[in-house]
Amino acid sequence: MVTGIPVLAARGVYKRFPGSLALSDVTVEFPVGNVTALVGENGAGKSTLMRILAGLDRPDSGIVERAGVAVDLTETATLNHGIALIPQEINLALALTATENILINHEPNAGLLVNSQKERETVKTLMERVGFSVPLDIPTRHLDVAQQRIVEILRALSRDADIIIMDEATASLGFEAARTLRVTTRALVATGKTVIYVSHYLDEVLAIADQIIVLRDGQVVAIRTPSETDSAELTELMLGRPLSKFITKKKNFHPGKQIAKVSNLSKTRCYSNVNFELRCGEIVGITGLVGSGVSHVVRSLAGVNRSDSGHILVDGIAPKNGSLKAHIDAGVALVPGDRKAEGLLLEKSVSWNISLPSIAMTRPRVIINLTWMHTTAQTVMTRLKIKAPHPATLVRNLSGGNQQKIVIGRWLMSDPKILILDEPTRGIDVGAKEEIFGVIRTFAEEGKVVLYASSEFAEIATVCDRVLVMSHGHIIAQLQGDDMNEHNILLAAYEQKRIENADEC
Amino acid sequence: MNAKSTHLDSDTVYINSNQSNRIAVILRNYAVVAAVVILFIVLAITSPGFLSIENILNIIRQASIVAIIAFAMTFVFIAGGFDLSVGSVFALGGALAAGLSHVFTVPIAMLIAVLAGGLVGFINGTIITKLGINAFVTTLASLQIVRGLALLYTDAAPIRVPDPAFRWLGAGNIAGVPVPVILMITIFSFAWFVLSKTKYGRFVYSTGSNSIASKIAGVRVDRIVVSTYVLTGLMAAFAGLIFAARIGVGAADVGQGLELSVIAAVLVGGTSLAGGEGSMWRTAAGAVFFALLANGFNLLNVPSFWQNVASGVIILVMVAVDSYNRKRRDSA
Repeated sequence: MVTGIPVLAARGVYKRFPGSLALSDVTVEFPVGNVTALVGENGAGKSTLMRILAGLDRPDSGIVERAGVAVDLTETATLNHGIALIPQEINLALALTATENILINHEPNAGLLVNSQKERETVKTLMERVGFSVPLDIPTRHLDVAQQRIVEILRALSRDADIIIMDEATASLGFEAARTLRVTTRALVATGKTVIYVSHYLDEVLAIADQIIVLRDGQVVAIRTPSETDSAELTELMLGRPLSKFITKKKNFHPGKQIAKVSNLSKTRCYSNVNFELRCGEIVGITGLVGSGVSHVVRSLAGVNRSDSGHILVDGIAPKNGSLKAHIDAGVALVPGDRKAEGLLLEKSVSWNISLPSIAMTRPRVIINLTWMHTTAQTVMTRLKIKAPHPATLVRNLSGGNQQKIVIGRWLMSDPKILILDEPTRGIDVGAKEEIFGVIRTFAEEGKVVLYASSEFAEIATVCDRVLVMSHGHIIAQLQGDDMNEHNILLAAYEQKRIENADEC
Repeated sequence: MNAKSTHLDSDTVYINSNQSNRIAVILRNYAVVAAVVILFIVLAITSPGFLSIENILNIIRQASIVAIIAFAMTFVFIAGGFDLSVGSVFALGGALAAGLSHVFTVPIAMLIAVLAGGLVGFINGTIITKLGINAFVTTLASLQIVRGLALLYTDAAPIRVPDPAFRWLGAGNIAGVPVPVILMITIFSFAWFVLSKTKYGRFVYSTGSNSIASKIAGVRVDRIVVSTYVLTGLMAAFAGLIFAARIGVGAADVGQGLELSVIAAVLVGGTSLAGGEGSMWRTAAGAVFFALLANGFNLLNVPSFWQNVASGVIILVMVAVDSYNRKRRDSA
């Protein structure tokens, strides 16, 4: 056990959001000079705890102590207390150099002019003190992601931060870059700094942390040191049960003939050597953690992005690489992950949105037939139970669930062979979710293939006939039948299989 | 319709447009019509010469050059684009047609001139879509390049248009109606039909409304965008040719600042710079509005500088209404 006063601590913290208790009586201590990892499933409360410690949220009750003294953390006060958050997304002015980014807003000399020489020396001294370095004089956009992270850490250090909170710092990093960052992190604590490390990667956590705090349903369920636990135990602690409660047996499922084949599909920095086939009538899940490459594979398969090498064959046709139109013509339809940005014409009507793919596909007709459009829209609205007052209602005015049904439903009329869904249930309430599952199943029963990309393991286990699990750009497991449950998917997804050269996306 | 079919589900999330929102929409749709009507009435009362058929036809004839280009510009705007090169293409079209009419027959000379305009548009559109260079920058550059080419071609000297058939296009009449007016009405009818009744028109709206979503739905958005710039190129060259026919010479220095008059007509017609919305008849009204304004200032002997001030203020007001509309909607 660690003795002495912890450099930072939360005691009896509660935090309630509308509809959920995010944190319930959480007490954690962060010993000085340690790396403390926070792990837990999505929604377990680790981001809320992190936000409270970083002053971005305030607890409903309970206190935060800085070196034994209760403090009131606000976003601006946090830095005065020596606490800095390194967010998941890189947050640099990419056109500026590392020096400029590190010293931004607190340049060493007062007055209007900047003294580049002096700035460089300030940063160099800082780098020597902590023992790691990055190129200082080129725009940070030319640095790799690990170096950009280090710039962010240096920026925090230059403002005398003693406690550094890192949120999923390696989520988008490849093998080498992740290792660089781990080494950097250990170097940091060696100089007496304290690190709070939020991560999805259990093997990484086991390698880097001095203590691991497991959160589940807003509570601390376990505190372990790496030597007394392993990833299997951590997984069970996170899930709170050895097996999923969501398992549904597929009733004797017989897939039809092969309709699509993906061979050796690769894209630098995104995924490599992806192989799988799809057969008529099945719902195939594809999943993985953030940065595993799932959405890149899905988007290449739909023709949104190019692949670098490999082949996609749909019903004997090889659609032109990176051509959306060619993929649609070959029978591949995409329901994109961001329905507002990529799925819908928000300012246009329900019938306009539903009929657009059909209009784009039926070649000979020049003139729009409004009656046909409305009838088509009505048919789809009835079939998918889309709740809109009228086909002429603007899509903007509908709920998320109804909007998503439109993005899926519009493909019913143009009859694709493969329907690719990217995170189809994001931001949708439970009722609409179940209706969408029903629609997807109907689709498959008509002999089409559904490729279901999602990061919700429980959902995948419920909806799909089999699942492909990706990690760091590779398909590392295929599960089906009784093996396909939330627990096994989670285990497979967490498996560390970092490949050299499979760099960040 | 029975009561059941009009019944709305209680859990339907549907925000009725509130009163002030509706007023804003009406303002955008009909403001330009109201402005035309009010201006018309004011001028009819204050200036005696205004209401003659001759003067009215004169106004419409003056509007025709801007209107013909503005019809094409409406497609560009709705698809989410912008074209500054039309003034230069206008000059190039007139100069080329005049020059080539000394070499080829008039129809061939005209065809080449108009196609040259289309080619400029094609290059603009291709640069914008394939290289991803901002439309403003691309067409600002082609504004300069094309003006330079026109000056090179004419050697900065006006080229006479001797052919009477050529001259008829700009200066002739059919049953007392100037030919440019007839051309304008024909082009308007066609443009209105294409925009509101055809698949192509729908794709133009869809592209401007959400380009990536349209692409994912199977619309070839790059082709659509390029085609709109081809339209402005063709129409700008054609309008240039009509203008050369009217004044009897093709010159490289005409139409400077014409792009701004065209854009003003489209904007005042309530077609949004953000893309996805707009209509052909409102653009027509916008073009007529500015012609009325010029005519009125003329008849009332107001210094033409005031016309600039008035045009500027009117553009600001129209765009402000549009952006107010958008903000309200986005915060809803």
